[in-house]
Amino acid sequence: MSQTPRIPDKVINWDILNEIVSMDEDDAGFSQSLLIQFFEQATSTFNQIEQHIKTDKNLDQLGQLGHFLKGSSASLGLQRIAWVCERIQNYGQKREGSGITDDNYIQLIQNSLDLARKEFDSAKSELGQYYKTQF
Amino acid sequence: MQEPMNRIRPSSPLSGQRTVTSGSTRRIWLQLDTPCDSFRGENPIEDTLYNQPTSVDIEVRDMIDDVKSKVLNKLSNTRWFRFKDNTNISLGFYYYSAELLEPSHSHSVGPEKANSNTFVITYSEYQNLIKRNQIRVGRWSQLHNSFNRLLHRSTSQSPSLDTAFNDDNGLRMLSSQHTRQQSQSPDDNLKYAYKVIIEPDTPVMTVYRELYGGLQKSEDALTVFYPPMSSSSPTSPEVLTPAELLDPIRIFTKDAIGQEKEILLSDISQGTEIDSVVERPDQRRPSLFGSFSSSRNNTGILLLPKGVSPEDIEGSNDSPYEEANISLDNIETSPPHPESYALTAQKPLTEEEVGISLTKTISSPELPRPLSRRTTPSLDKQGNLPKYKVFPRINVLIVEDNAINQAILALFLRKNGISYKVAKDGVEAIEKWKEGDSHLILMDLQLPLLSGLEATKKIRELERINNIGNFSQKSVSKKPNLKKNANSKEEGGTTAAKTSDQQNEVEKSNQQNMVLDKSKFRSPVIIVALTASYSQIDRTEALLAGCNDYLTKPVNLDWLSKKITEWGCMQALIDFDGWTEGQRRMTDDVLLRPQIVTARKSQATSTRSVPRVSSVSTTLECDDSKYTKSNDCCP
Repeated sequence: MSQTPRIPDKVINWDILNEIVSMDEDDAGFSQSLLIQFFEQATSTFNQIEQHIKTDKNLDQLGQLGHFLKGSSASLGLQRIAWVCERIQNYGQKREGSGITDDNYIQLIQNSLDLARKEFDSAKSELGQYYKTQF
Repeated sequence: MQEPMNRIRPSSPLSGQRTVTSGSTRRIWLQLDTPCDSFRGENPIEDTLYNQPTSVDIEVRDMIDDVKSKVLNKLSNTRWFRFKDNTNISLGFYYYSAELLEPSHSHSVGPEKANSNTFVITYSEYQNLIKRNQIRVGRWSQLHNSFNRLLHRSTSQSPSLDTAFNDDNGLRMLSSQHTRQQSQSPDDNLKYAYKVIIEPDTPVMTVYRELYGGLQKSEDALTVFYPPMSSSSPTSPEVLTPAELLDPIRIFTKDAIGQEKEILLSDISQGTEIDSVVERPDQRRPSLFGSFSSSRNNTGILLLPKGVSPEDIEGSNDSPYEEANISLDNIETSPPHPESYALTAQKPLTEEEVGISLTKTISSPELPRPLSRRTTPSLDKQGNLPKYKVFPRINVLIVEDNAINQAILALFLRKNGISYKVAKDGVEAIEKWKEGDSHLILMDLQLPLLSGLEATKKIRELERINNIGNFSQKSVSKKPNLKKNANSKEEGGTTAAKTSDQQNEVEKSNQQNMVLDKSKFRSPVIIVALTASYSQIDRTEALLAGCNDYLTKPVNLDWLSKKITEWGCMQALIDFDGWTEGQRRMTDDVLLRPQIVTARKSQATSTRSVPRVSSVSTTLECDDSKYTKSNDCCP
């Protein structure tokens, strides 16, 4: 069983997001459109995760969805969302936690999903302040 | 505002096909700087009215130096034009800051210079400052300013001449006349002024995009800096404002003889002088001129800016001509052979020839210039060498399923003028690679349909079957063994057996699809795995599958740009026959040692192993290669 790193303190890693924001100079509004795209992507991924939890409880699929969203959230510096997505990925691949049943994993993923949605909302509001807009 | 994709790239040795989109012209606005000593101050607003921005058309491929030529051409009928050439004017802007920004060097502005708060920095230093201090400047803002907008606050106070220099860190203090001037800016908290000089070899479109994001208004005009018009100069007895300077002149041919000589000579040094103004921190040394002129006669005049006669300089202990003093140092550090000077002036050309595209800036001290003993100092020692971005001409294939990561990588490459293709899964990756002309693949490992690892293995397999890279007989016969070893190592892994089975099946069924057009595959592609943050397993697997390197996600773009340079340089070494043909080069000795003594053909043998050299050493070798080659190519 691997050691689980702690969830990052800050919602957004500005070191990373700033790299993206700085590209606005070449392509005005790039970072904002990327974030909007991410919010859509995240919402739909959350729904898919929820769907899998409710129906087929396919851990493999759940892990892949977690991995997918982890990639984009990490690229945008949304590190708390990325952290939660990594949990989902690892639960899906049964890499974290030991001696627990598949149902336990499903429960862990459900908990993570709830947390992810919370983090999603706080990221949205922090970014909304930064861009002075309602995402 | 979407920047039109105007990318014209000279044909490159790396591939026959180039993305060439048609270039459209646009204009760039410029405005003359108004040095304080020529500014009268009675009616500042009026003076500003008479120094209006003007524009010149720019081509996509123009460098700042070309823009200078156009400005000079446009204003050639004016009095301002006198004694101006590409070497003694520079383009740039003022940047104002409320706080002292941490300069790029550790031993920065000493306390004794604390009273002066105007700095001359290069454009690349400016970008570093902005980046390091995490300032979001965004587009052209009130912090940027052409000099003239602030002139309204100027007073008639006489310029003080106690110029302070900071010798060590490349930031040179301007005389405090500028300080006075900016301290009266409306935003009194903007205490520090940076006079940003754009290096002459900066592509103008890069500047345009970075500063204006695609739309420059006339009020955002770049400033044309030029040497002060001397009141003691024999030919211009009065101090002139830009408005007056722009008047057509009638007496221009009067001293044509003296000028002719200067023009001729300044052509030699064109394009290299400007950085001496910016980057060579120096004190005035009137005595040096004396010794110089006695030992070498008047050849030294060659390097003086127009409009400064030796008499001016000799008597200039208390003169405000900073530029004049700087020119003395040119003399001091230049070798007595004009040929060697001309040789360095052609450096930008050489870069073109070798197929390396300049997408940002090269500050010249970083190039090996035989004559610049004094210009290469602290910068290199500080480890700031790769401040510029030299991107090789390569085609990149992005393989990434997440649209957001795709977009980031794509924009990054686009921004840096690197052409790319995108694939969203492993199958598409192979298809795109089969089209040919990919030099570098950024391969996400977790992909739908076919994973990154499997796609990599497949590509390596195809390369082996098609003998891509022109492997010698020996290395081909070795390959299957290597592969077996790799497979046996992997057998512990869960997917390995399955993978090789799959591969065998694919191999059989697609035998007829396996033949590739060899003209498009001159060397094995460099595959870089994009791995998740912590997974050591991923990395090992990636390397075993045939990746050359890996990057951890989220990809640090700074890091990526360094890596692209590195990989691209290796591609140039592997691929470009011209490099390896009949040239005695240090880099060849380093990278291709086993092959250099044998026939050229066998050099390709090294292609498989070259990309796997550890990163540290490859970085060094790459840098060397750039430099050595630039030198060798000089006529």
